[in-house]
Amino acid sequence: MSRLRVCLMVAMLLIGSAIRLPAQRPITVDEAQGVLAPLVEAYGVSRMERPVRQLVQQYLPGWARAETDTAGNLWVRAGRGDPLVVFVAHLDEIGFRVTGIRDDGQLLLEAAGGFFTSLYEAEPALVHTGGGIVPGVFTPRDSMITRRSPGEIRVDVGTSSRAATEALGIVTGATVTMPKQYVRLAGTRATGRSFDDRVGCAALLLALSRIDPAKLRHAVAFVWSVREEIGLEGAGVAADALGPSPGRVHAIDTFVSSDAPLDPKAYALAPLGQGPVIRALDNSYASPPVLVDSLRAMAKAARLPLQYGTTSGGNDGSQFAAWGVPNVALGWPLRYSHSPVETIDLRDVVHLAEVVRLIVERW
Amino acid sequence: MSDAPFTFDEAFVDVGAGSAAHVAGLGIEVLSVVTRAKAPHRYGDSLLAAPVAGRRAACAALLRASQQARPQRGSVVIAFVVEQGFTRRGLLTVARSLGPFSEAVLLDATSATTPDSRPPSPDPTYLANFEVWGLPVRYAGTPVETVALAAAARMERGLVVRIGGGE
Repeated sequence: MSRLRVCLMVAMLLIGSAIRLPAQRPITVDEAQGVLAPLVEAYGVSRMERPVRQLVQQYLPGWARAETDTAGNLWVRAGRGDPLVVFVAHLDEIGFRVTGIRDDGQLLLEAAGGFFTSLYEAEPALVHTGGGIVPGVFTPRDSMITRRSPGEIRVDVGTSSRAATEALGIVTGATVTMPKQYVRLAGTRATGRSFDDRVGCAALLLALSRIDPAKLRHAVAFVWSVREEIGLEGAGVAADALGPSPGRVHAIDTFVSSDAPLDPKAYALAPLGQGPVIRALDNSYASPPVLVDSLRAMAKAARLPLQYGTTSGGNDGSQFAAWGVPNVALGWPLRYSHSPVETIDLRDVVHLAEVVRLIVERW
Repeated sequence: MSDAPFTFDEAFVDVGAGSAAHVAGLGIEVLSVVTRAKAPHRYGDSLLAAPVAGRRAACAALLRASQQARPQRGSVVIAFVVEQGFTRRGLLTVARSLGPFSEAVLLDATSATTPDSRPPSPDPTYLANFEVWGLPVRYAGTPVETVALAAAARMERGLVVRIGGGE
């Protein structure tokens, strides 16, 4: 084969690959897992979101210019013109904060976020300090046999005095988690802790990876917010910064699936694997029905699965409501919410990212 | 909201399957063994937490001691027995098939044993004369059962002496 022919073939291959633009490739389950798994395994209890924020920044496309505001929210803006459409996914996860150190060296705790603290009982613990992670254990109740309800949960870091614990660098306010791992289950399902809201964070990153900012018809802002689990605080700062200027906001957060064997099916049923969910009504906000209908029609036309329903709890988008900004929150079905074994279907992550992309490019 | 522990009637394992056929396709069937996912967790000054950490640390001490010690008199049987927490079938089989023993040391995760708390022999004929060496544990029987590795090392040194014929 002559040198010329080799060169020509190489050139043709390059032309062929250029036809399939990266922006046109569908998002795959493996790709979603590749972004989601490290995010799930990062630690970031409310007020200590930096490790997660740094990881999100690493996954941003090259064109994206990220900014961190005074609250700790991470922003990426793209496109120009009205309406400004805002997407918000939260960085933080539930966990504990140290409220005191006992004379025997054990740590007193308070929950950061709403969950059954007994889920942490008798599990390994990680105390996050300025000097690194200090391992310990969440203490079991005093008698696992006779005591039916959990007592005050504490952390034992293996010391026997307050001074010894303080010498490890542990101070009041330090956050406490348990070790976690992303685990792939059968088929396209996966489990782990803090899928809430790393799935939302991943969906925004996956959508961004397919967006050409030069082709957007209006401005969009992607916000990875802080302190959602303790009162939507980061989103409140973002909402105040933008005021009434956004035309719409989309909080991207969980939707409790209610499809586990013991869940009542009459309320909030959104089975895993059947697509993302429009969170049409919860305790914080009611989405305008006309917008819900419009998005459903658009997704149907694009052949993207999209469920809708009502649930409890609040979402970051509601913070924008006080400025008169319509909120159409989006979620994905989540089993065993706020537990160490939150469970998802990766196909829902893919479709959530595609719906976000659809909204950015066409709505 | 109630935070009471669930019962076995409420215990399901979700493997990510969507049907019974999918579960069967994974090779899971009635009587398949299910455990919790676990990993040894180090904390404090040489503490190790894990399910049954005390008993496994005692196994490790015996294993390491058996690799180091050489019996100076008689014969020594080293046994790692099964079903100790269920029927004690393993210990009884060793005692009846290889015993009776002139003396025996049973290792387990317990608090330090005193003569008053010595358990009755599972078989007085084949296992009449025995001691229990307990490896102290904290949070016994929980997923974070904790053993001090220094204590396990002391047990190992004691076993080396005992296997070698010392007291």
